[in-house]
Amino acid sequence: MPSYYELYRTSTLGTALTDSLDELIQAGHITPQLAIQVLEQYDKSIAEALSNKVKAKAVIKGDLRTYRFCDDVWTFIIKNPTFKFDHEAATADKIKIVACNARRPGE
Amino acid sequence: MSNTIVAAIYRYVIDDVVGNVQADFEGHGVDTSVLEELQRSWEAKIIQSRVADSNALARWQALRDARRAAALPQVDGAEDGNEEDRNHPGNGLDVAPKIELPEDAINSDLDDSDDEYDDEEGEETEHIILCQYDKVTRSKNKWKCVLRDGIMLINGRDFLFQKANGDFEW
Repeated sequence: MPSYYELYRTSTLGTALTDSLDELIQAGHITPQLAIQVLEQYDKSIAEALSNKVKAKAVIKGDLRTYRFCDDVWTFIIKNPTFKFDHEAATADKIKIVACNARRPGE
Repeated sequence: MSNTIVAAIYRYVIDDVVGNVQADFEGHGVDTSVLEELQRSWEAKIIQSRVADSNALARWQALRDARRAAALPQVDGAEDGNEEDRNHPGNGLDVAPKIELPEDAINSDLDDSDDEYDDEEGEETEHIILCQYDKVTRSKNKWKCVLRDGIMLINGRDFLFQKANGDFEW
């Protein structure tokens, strides 16, 4: 059974799920073990959805302020980034990029 | 454009997770109503976060809840294709529609407001991209990144990409 990154747990969707699971654990409705099983399923579902269902492309530009490569994970802090999508654009003052290796160990 | 599909993708992921953990819940002897509560609570938080098309998410949640409520009293489980439900729950812009589920003991938790993007210390920024990299290369001060399978949170909205090229200058 392939393993999936836990990276996406910190996204909006992932934190919402984690918070909901915490509430159910606090209320005594589920055990932490069951919550972990749900999160592992989430890792798989979001990874498959991103890789199979999303078609959008993006271009990101900006000034690289900080870079770090640790445990096969790249972290970048970009100042004044601009984002171009297929039909719209966006800007921000700063963005953090956390990127795991697309080739997982053992693949 | 990519933001408009976010609601649909999130809906897919939520349904996929809920559908696939059903057996785990049964294995732990946990009642299905708890799984339904998990789904409702999860959706409500996404709607409140407004990162996606909340209106679409709220409509879909109201429709599903209406179906579920209608299916509960009659045990014969008739599929009640009441498609007209799609038309009137259009008031769900900010707040998740309050359709009560039976045995919904912890419904009040849904009202918690999430302030999880308020930390702005140091490297922490409310704008973040979670993704995977195919390639990261550097030539002098120019960096090129080939990224894929990303979730971006920018200015309070979520964007998804299959592929992204990053051109950065150090």
